Amino acid sequence: MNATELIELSIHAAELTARIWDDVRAAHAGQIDPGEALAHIGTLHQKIIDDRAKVDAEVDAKFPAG
Amino acid sequence: MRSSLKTAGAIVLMMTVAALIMGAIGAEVACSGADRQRTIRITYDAAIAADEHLTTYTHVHEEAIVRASPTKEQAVADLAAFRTKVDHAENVLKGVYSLVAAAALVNDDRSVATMLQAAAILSTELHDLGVTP
Repeated sequence: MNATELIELSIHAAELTARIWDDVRAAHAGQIDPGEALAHIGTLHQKIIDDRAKVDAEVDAKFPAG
Repeated sequence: MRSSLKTAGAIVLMMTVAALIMGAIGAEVACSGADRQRTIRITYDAAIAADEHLTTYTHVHEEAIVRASPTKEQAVADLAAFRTKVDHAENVLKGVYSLVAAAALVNDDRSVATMLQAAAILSTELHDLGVTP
């Protein structure tokens, strides 16, 4: 196989891969992204921390030291 | 508060629907990929609804605790007791998110069944917190 044939084969492989990838994406359209689901854990955790800090501040405001 | 309870009712209902889908399909019969994806999607949407509701529910109750407390010590103690109860539900909710991700990735009957078990536990946790339709 010479260089030209190798290049043509590579282009064909790339086109084939792109077509397969498109099919895979189409088949998975609308499905849940696992990363997106996992991201909710971090968001929830931060939301809890922020909300609790606000409430704790309200406690301090209602009952000032001294 | 009433709308919060309605939301919780919707969450429980959605989780029940997900469980019913799995039940209707039958434990011994492997369900199709489309059925699994639908079940995962319903559970995921229910988890997001539970997330939003639980946050609101917690905020409303914590503010009520602060308002009702005559002393700082009382407020701190009551908040700590309430947060311990809520922490459990929040940890289960995090577990549901993890299992939704796992089920979406693996997409087999076992991962979906495990995800639904966690969703059922979350439903019980919400109920135990006093979040009922």
